[in-house]
Amino acid sequence: MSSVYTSVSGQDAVFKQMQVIANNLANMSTSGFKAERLKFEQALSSSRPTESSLKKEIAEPSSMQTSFYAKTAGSYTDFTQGAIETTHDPLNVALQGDGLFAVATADGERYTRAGEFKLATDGRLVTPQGFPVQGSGGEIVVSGGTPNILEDGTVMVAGASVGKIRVVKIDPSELTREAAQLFKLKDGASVAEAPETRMVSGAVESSNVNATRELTDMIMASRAFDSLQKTRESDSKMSKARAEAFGKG
Amino acid sequence: MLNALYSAATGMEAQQLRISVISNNLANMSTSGFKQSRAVFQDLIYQTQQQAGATTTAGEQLPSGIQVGTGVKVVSTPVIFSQGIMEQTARDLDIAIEGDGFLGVSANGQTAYTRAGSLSVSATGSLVTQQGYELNPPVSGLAGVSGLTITSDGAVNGITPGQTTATTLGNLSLSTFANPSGLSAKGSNLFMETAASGTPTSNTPGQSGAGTIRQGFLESSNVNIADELIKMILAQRSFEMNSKVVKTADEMMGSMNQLR
Repeated sequence: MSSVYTSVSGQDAVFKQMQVIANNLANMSTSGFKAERLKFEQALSSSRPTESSLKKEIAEPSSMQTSFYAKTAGSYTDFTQGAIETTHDPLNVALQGDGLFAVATADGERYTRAGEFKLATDGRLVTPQGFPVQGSGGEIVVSGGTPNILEDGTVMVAGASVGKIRVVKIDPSELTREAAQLFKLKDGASVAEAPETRMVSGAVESSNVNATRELTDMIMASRAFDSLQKTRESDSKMSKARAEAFGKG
Repeated sequence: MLNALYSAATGMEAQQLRISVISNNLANMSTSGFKQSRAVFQDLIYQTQQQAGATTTAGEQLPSGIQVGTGVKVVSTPVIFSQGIMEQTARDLDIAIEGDGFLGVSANGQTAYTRAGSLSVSATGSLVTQQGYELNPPVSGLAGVSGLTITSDGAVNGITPGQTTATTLGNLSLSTFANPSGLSAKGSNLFMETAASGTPTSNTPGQSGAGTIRQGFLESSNVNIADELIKMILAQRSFEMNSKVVKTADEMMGSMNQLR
């Protein structure tokens, strides 16, 4: 009967994979979005009972189901650079190379690659959600004209600097995802300032979701699901035959 | 599996809204003073299905967690106030604003703002827009005036009947906003002040960051046709891909239902 559990946990992994693909494809037009990846192949291979787990099953049958999947499956964020899309909006900035913008939220500091900024009523530079963008010297307040953002992140208004957009570098494994393309720092992780990161103004970094890859993954997931389904079907037939041969009492 | 269906549905919905924004931009390709909008997307909350660092029943620590997203939404459709191309019309009462700022107009008892500067003189001698809305602050006393000129700083000069030299008959002023993208579009090229845009500051053209006036020109729409068409293709394909997710997820659920 262990093949039933293998195929059920396999299908569970396929469902997770489908959720991840669905979210990636839904965010194909979300600027600053970074594709999520599931370590699926690893998960699949580990779904097969290994020799040691088979031995364990004989000794301790109930431990079998839980030892399948979870131990190696994980997800990570693919931080490869997205294409630079020109928007002509002077408040849009795209980061070139590594780095993240820092924004202040009610829950603390968060980081993002999405540079579709706007001005709040009081002239503060904020994200579309209204989170203030952090400058190297605190919030950036613009007044008296349309700002112009230079390559190094300096915000100029009528020829005078009103602040410099802060850029930080963080090890991707130290980040967890939140809504609105925000990333949260894991406890105890550190942030390094990266004032050398270049920016392009009047442009945004488009989503790095690769449609070909996602669609291929989806076909693969669909096929894997079918195979696992076949396993369940034959397993079901076998149990039935066994019940007919030896069963009935 | 239901999650995948819902995420794909949010994707389709957002792309549909994007198409609406694009089609409005394209429809207003030739509307002078029109400013294009752009759909801004954001991802939704993430479900942590497995916490990184959690301990498995086998006593091992998970190196990474599993975070699964739940889709997308359009967070805003800001108007992009980049300068449109100056189109020469050689008409005395056509004005274009070069730089920031809006002309104030009185529309149905409220003050609205516009960058469409195709003006006319009304029967009562006031400067009005093509929709018949009077400028605010008004410029009046232009009945029978000849040789109208509008200078770059907004002074309206003309020769009143019975005179031989031109005199200044009024001044145009430009209103600037802290956040023009926060203005609410009301149709007829008009924008209204909102809490997000901030209150307007009235300026003499060319001063305090306000643009200058160019007589005999109109500012054409800032819609870039090639950009919009590319965005439309992308939106359509993204929509299709999301519907493909729905189809695949549905097939999987269907085949699960077959199991006996």
